[in-house]
Order: sequence, then structure tokens, then C-alpha cells
Amino acid sequence: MLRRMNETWNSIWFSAVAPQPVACFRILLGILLLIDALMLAPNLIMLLGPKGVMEPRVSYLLLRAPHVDLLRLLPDTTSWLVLFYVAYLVATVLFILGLHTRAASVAVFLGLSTLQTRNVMLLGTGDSFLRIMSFYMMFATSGAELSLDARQRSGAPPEVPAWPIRLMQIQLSVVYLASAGWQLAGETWRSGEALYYISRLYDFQRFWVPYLFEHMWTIKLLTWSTILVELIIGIGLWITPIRRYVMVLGLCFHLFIEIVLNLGLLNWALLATYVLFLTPESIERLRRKR
Amino acid sequence: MPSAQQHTIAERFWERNRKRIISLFITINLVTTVLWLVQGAVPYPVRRLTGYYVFFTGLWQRWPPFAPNPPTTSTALRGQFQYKDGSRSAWDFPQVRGMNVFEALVETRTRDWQLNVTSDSQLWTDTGLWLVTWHADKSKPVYRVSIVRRSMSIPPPGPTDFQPRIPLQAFTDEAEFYGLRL
Repeated sequence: MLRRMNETWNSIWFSAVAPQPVACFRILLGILLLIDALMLAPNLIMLLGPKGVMEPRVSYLLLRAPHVDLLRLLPDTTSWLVLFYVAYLVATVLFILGLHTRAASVAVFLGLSTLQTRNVMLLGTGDSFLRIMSFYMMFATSGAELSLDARQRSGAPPEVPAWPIRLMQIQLSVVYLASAGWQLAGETWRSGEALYYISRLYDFQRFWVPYLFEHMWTIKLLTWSTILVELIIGIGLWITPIRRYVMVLGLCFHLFIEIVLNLGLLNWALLATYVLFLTPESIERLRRKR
Repeated sequence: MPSAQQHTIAERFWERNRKRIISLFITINLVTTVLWLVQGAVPYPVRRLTGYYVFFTGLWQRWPPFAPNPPTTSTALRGQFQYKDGSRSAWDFPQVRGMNVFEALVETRTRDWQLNVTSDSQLWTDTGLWLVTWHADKSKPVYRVSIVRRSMSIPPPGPTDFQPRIPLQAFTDEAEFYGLRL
């Protein structure tokens, strides 16, 4: 019994897998991190500056726990903040290109964590997801394919360890299942009214969908479907025969949310993580189709 | 510099224990993630210990944005200044309502900050001083700065099936939640 459990554990975590999916994910994650950083640029000094809307010491008080913050090692001035920000952008570009990929992934995580902990009051769910994925990417061998590092190597790309990829896949499922769990705990989600309020929040609204948001029966249907879809994706991604249908469902789900609501980069970050569930053959097929 | 022998010992140790170390790391990550997500159900010492780990590794998380219940008000902040000569002025934080898709995406963080800031009094003094530094009339000494929360409540759904769109209108409520005399 114990031996079987050990074998199962080893086959889940310690097998070697093809390098293409995680390499693809590195590029997508890097692009999202770059967009995320560029979106911060116009308000960098206001939101994160030493004399900004919230001094970093307040953010540290709110966290009440040790955390990564490299800016604490530097003089607390606007020039150093800007310099750090530019260094982070450079690390992100290297991460996308796959040049010194491991070092770049560590720099990206440290940079992102530092910028995020500087003002925790402006973080959304998309920020959390990008940070968590950056953490796990430090352990993944993501530069073995589709990278400048790989160009310097001759021969077929080596297989890569599965365990960091599994941790990221599990995290993706956790997002969906935890979301469904939290929603089930809410009165407005259970009664089917949640989407009535969400669709009327002007701070989040992007495009109004005339019929769907104007009738209580469609609003209720959409509210309950949201929970159901999250449960289906969270579990269905692990079931090989239905995976591709679940991915298509997830794609439609997130594109719909993206059209109607502004949730930052959350939808794109979740969709990007789907590539970790693809096989190298399907990635190749997608490339050929393009 | 480690000697060749030390290097071999370290390598041998890693080779022999690689799976155990990685398994421990995986287990810690999975357990702390679950404990963090159900933190209301775990005892305080466990929660604190979990907090140390998740904040250090960046694994702290909370999903999703509109649960357990979505907000029922639209909110925006305004800084108001009263000068020593008795005159007044105001400055509004950027609001995503009315912006195009790209502008709204860039201001997403400012929006999230405005939604969060009213809940924690530790942030208000910094914000007040920042407002004075950047947005008060510099030609006049400021006597008092205040932060005003402007909001518009979404009425609960009506009794019929048809629920009309609420037109974009000015904020209906204004409440000063912080004031600082300089």
C-alpha cells in the first residue's frame, strides 16, 4: 500500500515532461507582467513613491509579516524607485526572451514582490495570481525551449521536471474552486442577484449587454452558471477526455467577463495558465494552424 | 571556496535527498495554501505561522473579486482643501467611469486603491499629506485638508422581471471621513 502511494506520488511529481508548454507559459506570463508593469508607469510615483498616497511603512504595518522588499535595501528616494522599476522591466524582457532564464525568473519574482508589497492596498486578484505564478516559475525549467538559452544548445530539447508545473496547475484549480466556495457563502450569489449588482457597478463596467443584464431570469441564470462553470473548470481540467471542452468553456467564460467587466489582467492570466495543460503536440498543431 | 570534497558531499547529499526535499517543499506549499484559504477555520497560532510563510513567499491570495457578496455602491474619492484666507478648492482622484477601455485599464490600480482606502485609517494621514503636496494651490497656505467619499448606491432589484439599466449619474452621497488641520 505504502509502496503504491509512493509510486503514485513519484509519477505525479517526479516525472519528466515536454518543455514546450512551460516555455509557452513563460512567454505569456512575461508579456502579461510587462503589460502589468507598463500600466503602473503613469501612476508609479503617486502609488509607490516615498511621498506617495501611502508611505511604504504603512504597507509593512498592514502585512505584519516578513516579506520580500528589495527597495528597503536602497535609499528611499524617487530616483531609486524609478531605477528599480526600470531594472524590473529589463528582467521581464529577459524572462520573455529566455535569456539567462533562471536568473531572470528570480529577478522577476523579487521585483514583482517588492513592487506589490510597497502598496498592498492597490492589489487585485490578478496581481495575486501573477505573483504566485512568478514564484513557482523560479523553480520551473522554462528556458529549455522557445528561448535564446535554447538556441545556444544543440540537439533535441531535454524533458523538464513536472513538479513546478503541477504546482501551477493545482494553483489554477484552486482559484476556480476557492472562487466557487466563496461565492456559495454569499447571500447574493445564492439568491442569484450577484450579477445584478456587479453589472451595475460603473467602476468595473466595460460593455453593457442589453437583454442579459435587464431581466432577472437571465441575471439569475448567469449568476448560478458562474459558480457551476468555475466548479466544472476547476475539476474538469484534470480529466483528460473532457479537458479540451473544459478549456473551450473556460475561454468563452473569461472572454465574456473580459468584455463586460474590467478586472485588470486576471482573465488573461488565468487563460494563459491553460497552456500548462496542453500537450506538445497540441501546441505544435496550434502553431501550424497559425 | 568549498573544497572539491565538500562539493562532492553537498552534491551527494542533494542527489540522495532531492526527492525528499522537493516533496517537503510541495507539501508545505499545498498545506499552507489550503490553510490560508480557510483561515477563518484554523486556530490563531496556525494562521499566524501560515501568514509568515505565505507573505514571505508571495503565496497570499484571496479569490474572487466579488465574493462573498459584491459591493452595492460605486465609490470615488475627493480631496478638499481649505486655505488660510478662507478660500476652498477640490481635487478628484481619477475615476474609471466614462473612460475608454485602455484608460480604464491603466487606472485599474487607482480604482482598487480608492475602494480599499476608506477601510483602513492607517492610510488616511499619508493620503491627506500627499494631496496637500501635489494638488493644493501652492500659492496659498493650506489650513485644512479633508478626504471625502462620494458614492452612489445601486437600488435592490425591483419586483418585476425587467430591471432597467441605471443611468450614469452624479454621486448621490458625500461623506467626509478624514480631516487634518495643518
